[in-house]
Amino acid sequence: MDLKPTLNMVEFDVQMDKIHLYADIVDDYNPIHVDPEFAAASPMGGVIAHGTMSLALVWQSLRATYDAERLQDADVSIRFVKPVRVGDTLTAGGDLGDDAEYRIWVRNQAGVDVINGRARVRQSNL
Amino acid sequence: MQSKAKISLDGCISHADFEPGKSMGSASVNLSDELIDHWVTLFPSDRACLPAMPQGMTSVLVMRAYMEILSPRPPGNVHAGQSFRMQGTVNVGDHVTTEIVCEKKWQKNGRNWVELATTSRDGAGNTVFTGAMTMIWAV
Repeated sequence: MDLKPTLNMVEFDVQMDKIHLYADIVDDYNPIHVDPEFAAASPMGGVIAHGTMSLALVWQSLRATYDAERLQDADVSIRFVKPVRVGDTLTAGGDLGDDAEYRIWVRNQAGVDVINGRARVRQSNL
Repeated sequence: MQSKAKISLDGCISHADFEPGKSMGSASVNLSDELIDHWVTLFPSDRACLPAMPQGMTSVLVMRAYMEILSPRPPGNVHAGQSFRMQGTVNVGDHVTTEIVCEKKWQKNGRNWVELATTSRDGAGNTVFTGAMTMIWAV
């Protein structure tokens, strides 16, 4: 088995202009993401980033570790467990388990998981 | 190409409208140069993937289809989980059509849950990735 024990980590700073750009990309202008005044008055108490923007970091961590061929039939399954706020610094990575699956995570600057789950990549034929 | 199930005549799609096993519809998204430009502005390191689609954009294709097919939605839905399984390569310029099927629905602790299975195909009809969205539906 040639799987690496950990995934290379990637970082991402969450800023309002990035959230607006992601809203353009996914065509999702839910005010909880893009309207600070609306979001402040909502139960969330402020803007939260689109969850799938943070999920992109998981893929970047996988790709920072393995080439495209190893990801051709990759399998990723995650839960969004905490909201991501403007000003957060996110780090994504993963740790290999005994079952040849990575326990993947995206954490904020406080070390709190905002995403966790598992990922499997192709094992090479050695 | 697009099709959409007529779910509710008035108002938003509710939890009661979901039927396990039922296709909710399909929608096509063009992985255009403009979309790619926006993406690599946000995630510059993903430029190295081109002309293949960065894997993180699987969410873009699925979420755009979801918002087109399942509309109008009630405010307050929560995207609780997501999975993807890659099965092929998508390249810049491709049109990818995603079909959404209600896999199952249930209630727990007073909340309405639904799992939506997604299948995304290229212009030739080949499956390029599949996935599942777990949602807490507001009403």
